[in-house]
Amino acid sequence: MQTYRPNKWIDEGLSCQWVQMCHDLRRSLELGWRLFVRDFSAKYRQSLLGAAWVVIFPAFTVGVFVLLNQSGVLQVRESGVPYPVFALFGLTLWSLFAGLVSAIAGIVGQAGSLIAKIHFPRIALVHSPVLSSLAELAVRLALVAAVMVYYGVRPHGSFVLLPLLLLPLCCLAIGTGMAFSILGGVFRDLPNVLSLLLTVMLFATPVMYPMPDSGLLCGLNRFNPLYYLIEVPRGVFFGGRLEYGAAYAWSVLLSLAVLLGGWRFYHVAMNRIVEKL
Amino acid sequence: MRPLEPIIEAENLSKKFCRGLKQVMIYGACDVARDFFGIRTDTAHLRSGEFWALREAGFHVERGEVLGIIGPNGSGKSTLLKMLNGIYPPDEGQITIRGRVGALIEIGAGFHPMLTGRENVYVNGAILGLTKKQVDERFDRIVEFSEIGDFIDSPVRHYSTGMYVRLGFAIAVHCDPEILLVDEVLAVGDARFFNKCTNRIRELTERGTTIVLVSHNLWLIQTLCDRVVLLNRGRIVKTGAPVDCAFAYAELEPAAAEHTGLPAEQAPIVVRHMDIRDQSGNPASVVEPDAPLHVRVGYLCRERTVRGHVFLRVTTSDGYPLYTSYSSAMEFPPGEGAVKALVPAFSLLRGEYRLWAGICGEKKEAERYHERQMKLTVNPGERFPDSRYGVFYNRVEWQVEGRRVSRINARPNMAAG
Repeated sequence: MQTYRPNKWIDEGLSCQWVQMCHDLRRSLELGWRLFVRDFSAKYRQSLLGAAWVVIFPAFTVGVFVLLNQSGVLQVRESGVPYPVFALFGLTLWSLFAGLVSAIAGIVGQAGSLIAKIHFPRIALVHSPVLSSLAELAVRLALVAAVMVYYGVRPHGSFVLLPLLLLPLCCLAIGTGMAFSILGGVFRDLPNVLSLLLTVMLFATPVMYPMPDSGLLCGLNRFNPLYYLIEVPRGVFFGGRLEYGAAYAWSVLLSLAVLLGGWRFYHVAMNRIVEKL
Repeated sequence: MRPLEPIIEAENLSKKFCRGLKQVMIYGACDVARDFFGIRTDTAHLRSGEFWALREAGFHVERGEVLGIIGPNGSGKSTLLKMLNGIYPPDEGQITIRGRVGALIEIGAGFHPMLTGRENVYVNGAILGLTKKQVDERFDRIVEFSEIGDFIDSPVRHYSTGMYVRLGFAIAVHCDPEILLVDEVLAVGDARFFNKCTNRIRELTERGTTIVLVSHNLWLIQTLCDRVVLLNRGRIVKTGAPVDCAFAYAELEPAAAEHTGLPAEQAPIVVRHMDIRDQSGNPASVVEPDAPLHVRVGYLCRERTVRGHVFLRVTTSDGYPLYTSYSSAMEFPPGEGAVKALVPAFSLLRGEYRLWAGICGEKKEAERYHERQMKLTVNPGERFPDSRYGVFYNRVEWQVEGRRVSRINARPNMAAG
């Protein structure tokens, strides 16, 4: 039996809402997988280079940075691993974050007519971008591995922890993306704002270069959770050392909060958004 | 679950929308923020710029019933259906649904143009709540019903509109929901597929599926539905038998302002008045099927003699022509006069129609001078209690071959065709 009435969730209480959200999540898994298969098989169907596009973009970006570095325009402090490996690895993690955020932020806009016409667990829309981002991550990590072989760099033995260490980064990205997807449904200028923000953040966060010792960038990034969420996995991967333990822990907590908050926001707001699509 | 409880119950249901785009954004943001922080929103009052799309609608649907929803454009039909489907939350009132809902609000929503029909069947099935195994079981039946054939392995963007609709409908009706919501989707296919779909809907109801059907096709509504809800400007105007609601609907529709003739001042001849008389010659506006109908058309001819025809036309209340009858060629001398028309047995069944009387030149339709119209109500008549399956009446003589069939009742059954 299903009832619909205004303020239903407020009457029934917060815990009931979380139960419903988990129920929806469980129910959505099959559909989510189907949508992922749909999106993934449709994505490269009419492109010449197909899935190669996944690695072309980071390869070229890193290529430019390496060029800048070699010609002396970009001075980068020694970080223990050859610069191309360092930059490519950082960019790969960054692409995971940025790809997740922007892909999830677009789901409500893209599935607008579907949302407005069919009742299904809305959370199912999130699975497809998450799975495609993970698939792209795997392809990009293969590129990283190839470059590491070329430069003769070996990862530290604790590199197996990488999936675990990337989890908080994914949580932050998914939570942010879900919140943006709803807001983007109401405010149509948000996708532009988001892509601008992501570009600025890519250069402002020490992803393609090590953290500077002093200056404005250093001061700001002390409070940038993204920096810790990318730098710590990189440090563990190459050197096996866990730096900034406390800051990383706080960042992990923050990303969990963002994930849960974004999820709830997505769930609560979807009903309100649907009539505005 | 008690079987006697209605499968759908809607009480005092209201839904508001907002006109201005800026206000939509502001109100949307406010509502979302309140929901997120768990603050109760007072949805029962209109804020500036809002209007009620649906107001205080209350009805129920019993298990296995077919409920039709009719009404003019913008009367809230689709809004109501989307609320029943749980897409729109109500702003007031409550909906209780005691069954699994399947909806056909837009056929092919969720089809991906690049994917083949086969892939889309699986995706669409999943969207409608089927598992892969369930789609596997139904796949052959879906393809057979849709009549897509080998095209099932082509991308759907190469499909014709008909194929697209057929496939979408086939998936939705094979999901076996307990409640099926259908929104004006049958209008797209060709006649054959339309029949196939209506038959499928009948089959589903025989198996106990409850159906809520939104349509502008009053004929479809009358043949399929057990009960009808008539909406106008967001309110339920009438709930009841399909025929009664169809008539009430026809009353709502303003007369089609069809006037293609010349303006009265320029016409060489005008229809001054028209009236309907019954058998004894008294004015009437109500007629019965199979009874004689007298129409008197008064004209005024200006300056010169006009050659032409008088015509009589019956249209549906929304202006769709049913038949036209022209008089033989006449000469109208200047001045006033009248022409009488006698229809020996008026053959339309119970309903609301419009009767037009006009005068045209020798080129008939291409030279319509002037015309008038009036409302024409056809009463059920004692001999035609059930006119559900037709519009007009034809005398039919039945003969029995052999001796296997015998007549029980001496009174011949009235058939409509």
